[in-house]
Amino acid sequence: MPGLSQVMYFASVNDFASIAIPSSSPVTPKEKYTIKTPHTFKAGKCFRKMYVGIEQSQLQYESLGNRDATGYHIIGTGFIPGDSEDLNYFANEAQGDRFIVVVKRADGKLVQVGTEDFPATIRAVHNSNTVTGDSSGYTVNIEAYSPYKYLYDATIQLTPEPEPEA
Amino acid sequence: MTKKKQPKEKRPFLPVVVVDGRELNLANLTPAQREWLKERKEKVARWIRF
Repeated sequence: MPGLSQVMYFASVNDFASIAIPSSSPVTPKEKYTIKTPHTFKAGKCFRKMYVGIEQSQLQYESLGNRDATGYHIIGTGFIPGDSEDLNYFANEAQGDRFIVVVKRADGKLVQVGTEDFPATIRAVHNSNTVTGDSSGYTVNIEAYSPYKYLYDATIQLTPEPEPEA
Repeated sequence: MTKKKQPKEKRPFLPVVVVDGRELNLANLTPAQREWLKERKEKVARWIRF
């Protein structure tokens, strides 16, 4: 089944204690592009969940530059219906921040968008639509540049990290 | 005579995590979830020892 699931996970790069990368000594060659170590967080921080509309979420990779260039331009879109004080806060704060986003495909596999060196941007733009039109809500635009396409095969922490023991 | 206060036992940190696309509350696992997680124990070794 193509497409993405209705859940994305994201966190600001400032919230991480450490941002993991693929092992420098991978067991198999393909593990060069899979992150198997979980990201860790500063106290009080964790990944956040974002629910997006099922027919409006997509993640697309484009090649960068000419035939001698490498790397990807990554564009993700999602739709969050409605509005609230929380969503309003998120839209305003996110526009100036940088993120690590983990996107869940329809088959359950996780893809990471953004790295420590090349974090992703998230822009949430609201459209009220018309009274007789489709639902109002936020179109979430995720964008990043990356030398490689990374898979994420580690845990995603959804409970805030506790304060370290005194 | 006043009783000496025992220091409070610190509860282990067992977060909600996503493992292989599945969201689990490590503090409240069902037996089936625990069995499923045992096959992936290295992913939660930081919080749970099987």
